[in-house]
Amino acid sequence: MMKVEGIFRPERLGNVTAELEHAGFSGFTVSDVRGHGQSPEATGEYRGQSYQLHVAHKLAIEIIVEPKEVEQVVGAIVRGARTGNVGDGLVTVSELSAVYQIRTGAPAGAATNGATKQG
Amino acid sequence: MSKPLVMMLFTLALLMPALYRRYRRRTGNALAVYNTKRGRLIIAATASLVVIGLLGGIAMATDGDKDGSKTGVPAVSGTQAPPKPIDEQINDVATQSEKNRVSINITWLMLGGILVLFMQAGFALVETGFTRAKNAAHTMMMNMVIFALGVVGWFICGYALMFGASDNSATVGLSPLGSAFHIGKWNVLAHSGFFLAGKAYDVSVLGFFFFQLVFMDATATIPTGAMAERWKFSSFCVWGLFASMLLYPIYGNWVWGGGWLSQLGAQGPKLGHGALDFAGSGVVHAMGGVAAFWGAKILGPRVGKFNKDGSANAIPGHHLPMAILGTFVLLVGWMGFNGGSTFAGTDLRLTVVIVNTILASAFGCLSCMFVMWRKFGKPDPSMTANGLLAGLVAITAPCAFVAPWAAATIGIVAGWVVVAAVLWVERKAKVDDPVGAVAVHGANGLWGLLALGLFADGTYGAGLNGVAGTVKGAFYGDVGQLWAQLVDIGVVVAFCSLMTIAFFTIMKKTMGMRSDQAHEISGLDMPEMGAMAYPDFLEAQGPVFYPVEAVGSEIDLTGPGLREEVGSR
Repeated sequence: MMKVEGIFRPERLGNVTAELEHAGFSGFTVSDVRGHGQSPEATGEYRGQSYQLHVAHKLAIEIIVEPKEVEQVVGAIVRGARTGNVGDGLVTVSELSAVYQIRTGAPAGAATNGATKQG
Repeated sequence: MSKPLVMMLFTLALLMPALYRRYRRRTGNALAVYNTKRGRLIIAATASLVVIGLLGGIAMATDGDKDGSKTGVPAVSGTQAPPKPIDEQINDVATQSEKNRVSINITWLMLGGILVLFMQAGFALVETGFTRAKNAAHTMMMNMVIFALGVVGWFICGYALMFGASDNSATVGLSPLGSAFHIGKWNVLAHSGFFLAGKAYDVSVLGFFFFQLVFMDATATIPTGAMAERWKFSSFCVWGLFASMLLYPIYGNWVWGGGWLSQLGAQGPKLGHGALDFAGSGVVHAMGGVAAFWGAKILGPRVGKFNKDGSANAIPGHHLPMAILGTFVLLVGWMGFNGGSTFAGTDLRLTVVIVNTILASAFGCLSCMFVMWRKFGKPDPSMTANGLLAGLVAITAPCAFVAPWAAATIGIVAGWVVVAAVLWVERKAKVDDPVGAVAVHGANGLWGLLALGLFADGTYGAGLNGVAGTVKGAFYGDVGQLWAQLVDIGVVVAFCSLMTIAFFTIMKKTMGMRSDQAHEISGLDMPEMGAMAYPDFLEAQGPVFYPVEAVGSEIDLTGPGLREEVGSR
């Protein structure tokens, strides 16, 4: 099994999920993350004192799929998250040594994801 | 003629349920209550009869006072008493109108006090909004408990020391409870009415007690903002009693309770009307602000506020909407704070007071906003809220004595003063004041006292503090009033500094003032309060928030696990 992780702008979540569902993937995890990339730091002003926001708010998405579906999923995330500006984020792909489903305790195969597989 | 008709209708209405029950018995169909046409008809008829009867009865009630002409007129008894002699009647009228006057005054006093009491909510919201989420329960708790501690201290001896000898018989019918301690002809402290016992159990005294109590609570709560996020709660509790039992009443007595500062006009140097402070720029706000300054200085800055080179870091508050809501609560409460300080609803100067208060707050808000915008590029919301409050604090002493244009001017200056003071406190004095209490209450309280000595225009205050003539500031020809205000400023700063430096130093040496540093870093809510303000907003804290079941049980990672069991349900 493979894991595709994407870090992208919070406001693109709707587009990313729409693209994923369009491609037939409905199981994924989204979390709030803070990070520092190439985009410039934001500056705040509070009571006459300016301060740097060293990290910016992003969302991270994780989706577990079969190796042959990776390209499709990466494409969906990139299409959904891209604005063309610095700070759009990135997508990583990694291999998983095992996946278990908590409800059954069984090693999960294709059952972890994909409306395509589970119908 | 029509009354019997209505009676008949009502009787019919009352009979209806009985008729209906009889009908139900006859048909023998218990379930047909609402379902038969006849049943519904009977219910509708009963209801309409009741409605018609009620409306008819109301319309016929000729006893009501429809134009307000009869209310409050003594009822005429059946056998009319012989008319009293005319002078006796005039006497009755005079007695009643005097009673009404005092009643109106006390009602206004109570209304003002209730509004000021609500300012506690404003303080709580402002202070908590400007501090961090991890300390929100702690900061809120200080603001709530200071109210209770204040009431206790004020009940025990605060009121007695401050107002035991004060005379407000002209407004709310309050005669002195006793004489004051004095040195020569200078009064230094009252000492009557402890525990509201004896002569103090009196409607006028209790009314005045309540009104002055809520003012004291405002003073006591001001330092909680400047010292927030690091003040050990047990040490704070001692402060609440100290402020309400000693600090506030002693100086308050000198200005408001007939003490020596208020006597400066009538005797000795004969400075104007003596030290004047209409609603408490000095007594309440400068007092709280100066205490806040020394408290925050002795307590030390929050971890991470200042860098090694002495430069300050911004520590943004967690909830600006809360702070701005609190600012508005304070603004509304201030109408009672200043307006109520006439002690008299029959003193129509109260409209001038309220409009002056509003003008100063609006101009203070705007001038602070534009200064920040110009100086730092953004119309800083938290500073703009401070600016609004700064205008209110500054107008509190002079509000009754100045013209509207002067109120606006005082507000504009207050907006500048608050910015300068915030920057001074943080960059020069190196004192960490998370909410700007020193700048808002301290600096602007002193500015308010000074402004009274400058702008008072001689239209109000005849006979105040036993001095004939109205109150005039230096711009209107009475430099003596300005001197009295300057003496007052010197005394409030010196006295309050002395008392609070002594108090906080003793606290630091004995029970300790500062929270444990590890607690301060993790947030004071859990270690000091045992409860978090926002548990749901934080990440999962394991066993702290969620019960732990059996640990270490075997889990089958190969088979179908619980699937069958789940499926079989």
